[in-house]
Amino acid sequence: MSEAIDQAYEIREKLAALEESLLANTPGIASLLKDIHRQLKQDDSLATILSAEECSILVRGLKKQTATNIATAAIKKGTKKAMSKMQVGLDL
Amino acid sequence: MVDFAALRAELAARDPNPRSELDTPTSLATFLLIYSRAEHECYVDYMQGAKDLAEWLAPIEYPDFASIDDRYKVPSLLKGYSSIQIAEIISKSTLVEGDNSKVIEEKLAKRARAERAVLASMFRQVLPELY
Repeated sequence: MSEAIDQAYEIREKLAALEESLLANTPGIASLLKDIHRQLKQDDSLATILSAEECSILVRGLKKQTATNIATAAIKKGTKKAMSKMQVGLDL
Repeated sequence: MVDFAALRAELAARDPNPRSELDTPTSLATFLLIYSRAEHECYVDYMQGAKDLAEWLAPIEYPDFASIDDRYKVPSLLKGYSSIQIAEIISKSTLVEGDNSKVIEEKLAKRARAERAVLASMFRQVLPELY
């Protein structure tokens, strides 16, 4: 029983930290999402205790993380392209 | 000489999310409950939130009672943009291979199954939690 309360408290704490990160635009969203994911996978009944606001924060965090992943992949792709062009230049 | 067994043990101890844990299926009811509570966030931007949530919780598992009868069809009165989109999103998680007609047939069958599962899970599991 107390373990369930601890888990509920922990997931709520992580969601509050996620909201703070989203508002302040600070890094750490990925690791918070990872922790929440691990907890939900261990016990998905934890979702029943989450409020509408907490669920919204979670989805907002996921959307932000997806956008970050897409932007990072695009930057990496661009850098790779630039590097390959530099290689061609060096070969000449 | 590298001791790979020791390295593997060390990496396994360091990994906070062991693979088996990530592969644990999430129930459809969990996805639908979070979706229902965060409906606006999930719905805006062409259901981007719902897509991200489904991908994050994958694999999503249907309840046993959802696939009892394949002849059962979701009445059109209970179908809407969101329910059709959600069925599409969650039925995408498994790959269908084969010739074109077979693929289309399989995809439609999978979507119909997802629609049934969503409706059944909403009525039996999610609505009692919401209210």
